[in-house]
Amino acid sequence: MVEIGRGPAPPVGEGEEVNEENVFDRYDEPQGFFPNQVIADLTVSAVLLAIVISLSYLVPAPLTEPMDISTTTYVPRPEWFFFFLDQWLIYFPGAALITLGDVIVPALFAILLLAVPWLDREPDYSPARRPFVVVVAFLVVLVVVLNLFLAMSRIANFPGGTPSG
Amino acid sequence: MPVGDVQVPVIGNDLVIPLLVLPHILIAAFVIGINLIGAFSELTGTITKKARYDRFARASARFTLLLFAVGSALAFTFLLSLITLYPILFSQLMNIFFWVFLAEAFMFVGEVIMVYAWYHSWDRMAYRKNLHVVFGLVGGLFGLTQMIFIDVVASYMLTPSNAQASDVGWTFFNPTYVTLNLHRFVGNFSYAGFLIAGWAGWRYLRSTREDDREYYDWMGHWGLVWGFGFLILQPFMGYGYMTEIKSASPGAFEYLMLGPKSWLFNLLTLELLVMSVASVAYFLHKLDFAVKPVPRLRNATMGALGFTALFALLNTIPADGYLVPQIGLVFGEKVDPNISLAARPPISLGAMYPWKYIGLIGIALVGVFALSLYLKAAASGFHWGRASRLSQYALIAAAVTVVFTMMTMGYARESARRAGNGKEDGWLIYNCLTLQQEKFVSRGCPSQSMETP
Repeated sequence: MVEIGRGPAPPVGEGEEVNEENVFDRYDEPQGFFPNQVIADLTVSAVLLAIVISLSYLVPAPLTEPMDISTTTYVPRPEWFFFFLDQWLIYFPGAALITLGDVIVPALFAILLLAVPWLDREPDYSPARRPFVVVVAFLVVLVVVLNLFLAMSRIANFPGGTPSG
Repeated sequence: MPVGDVQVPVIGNDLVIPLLVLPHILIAAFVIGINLIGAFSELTGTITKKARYDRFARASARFTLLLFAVGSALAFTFLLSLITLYPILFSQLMNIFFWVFLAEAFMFVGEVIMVYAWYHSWDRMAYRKNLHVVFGLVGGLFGLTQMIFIDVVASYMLTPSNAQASDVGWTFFNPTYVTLNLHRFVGNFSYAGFLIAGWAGWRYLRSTREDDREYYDWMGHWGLVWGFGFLILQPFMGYGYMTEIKSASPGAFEYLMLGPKSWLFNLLTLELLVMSVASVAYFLHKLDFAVKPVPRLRNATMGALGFTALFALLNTIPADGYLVPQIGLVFGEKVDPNISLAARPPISLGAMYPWKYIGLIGIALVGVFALSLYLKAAASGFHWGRASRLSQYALIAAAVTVVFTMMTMGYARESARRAGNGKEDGWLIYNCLTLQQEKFVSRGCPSQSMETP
């Protein structure tokens, strides 16, 4: 099994050879994606899937009232985990800015996420040795959480939409 | 005489609370800020192995302890006055926010324990710095959590939540709760940073020993980096906060921005001008003492100083000549409070849109630019102890101004509840409870369970 998080391995010593037999003793060295990482990922995925299936059986999501197509006062809201993105719309009001706020900026962010392995070349696992990416990641999570709170506060206090739109 | 009918002679009841709260806020905000800045300094010292960070952190811990007791005494006296003079208000707040007050009390206990442990174990844990710094950080987090809890009450009083009092969690999420927390979080760091810089400037001017001059010169730099670094976030935080007030309590918003208290925001722009220009001018001066000469950074910072002054001056242009009507300082015609902020006022360059937006965004972006240049130069080091007297006066001016800024904005926020009930006497809880505690206004009061008992 792949071991992660024990800190950096000592540097390869003089005359020491890293090969298929001893590579897993040196957990900080590059190692094959298949099969070990695949097995680890599949195991976690299977456990999560089992939890979700159990929850859907034990605590099923309620069915709400049927859709009323004649209403004119309904304010559409996303699921709670997209509230932060809904809040993002507030900062980009008007038809001209909506595309920028909810398509272009999130798309750029997604591309940046895909590019993280190339942007962060630091081989260490330890957060203490990767202050830049850790601070950036913390700020990203903070922005998401704060926007979630702002959206919750807005939706709770202005269920029919804010006066300013 | 029944409790609640107490009349304070000479100054009246209304002035008792602000007289106690104002010094409390000035001290409490500083305690939160310096505690966290001190803890981060100790952490920086353990990483960089530079003794001045540790010296500063220890002084911060001592200062936190000294001020914490004074601030808490004021808070207790304020609470006693609130119960005595406004018993119905306090009873209502206690009913809605019992869990908040309970948690707040425990946060005090936690902060006392951690901050005392932090200061008194300094020598004993000199070789276990990684653990010791945790005391300071956790103490600071307790202080911060105190602020987060009491902001539930403070924000509710201006923008009550659209929830029944029995929905405990949702009563916390009133429209300005999150934005007030952000505004105060950033403000506490900025305020403490400027005060640290000002104190360092004062001590630098009075120091005769070379090592003290070096230390206080560095301390001025360290405080200003925190103070100015967080100040440039404030235009965005303040804008977000005002937007929420506008949505939730439009009467209060108009009272502040277009009504009798709009002069407070003209004053704020002057204060912002002093702090911004003093900070960037200090940065420019300091670049002369970089270990590695940085002529290009210096030229760019000179440009940044010019733009900072330009944007700051743009902000100071008022929308009309009705500067402070309360003392008769008025010229020309008054902006109609019923018109949109985007409308053209008597003085065109004083319009909110687009000039104030340009000014505020400009000052923040130029500030980020100037600070980045300064930090880049600071990475290679400065010759400490050679700063001019004028640069220290700039630090002291920024520190004095930040205190006035806190008072200006504190007064603005509290007096916003004067608006909106048609009697010119205002609200204790906006749209719910009048200043006289006479009745609960059921119509328009979001928490229906709070109607007159």
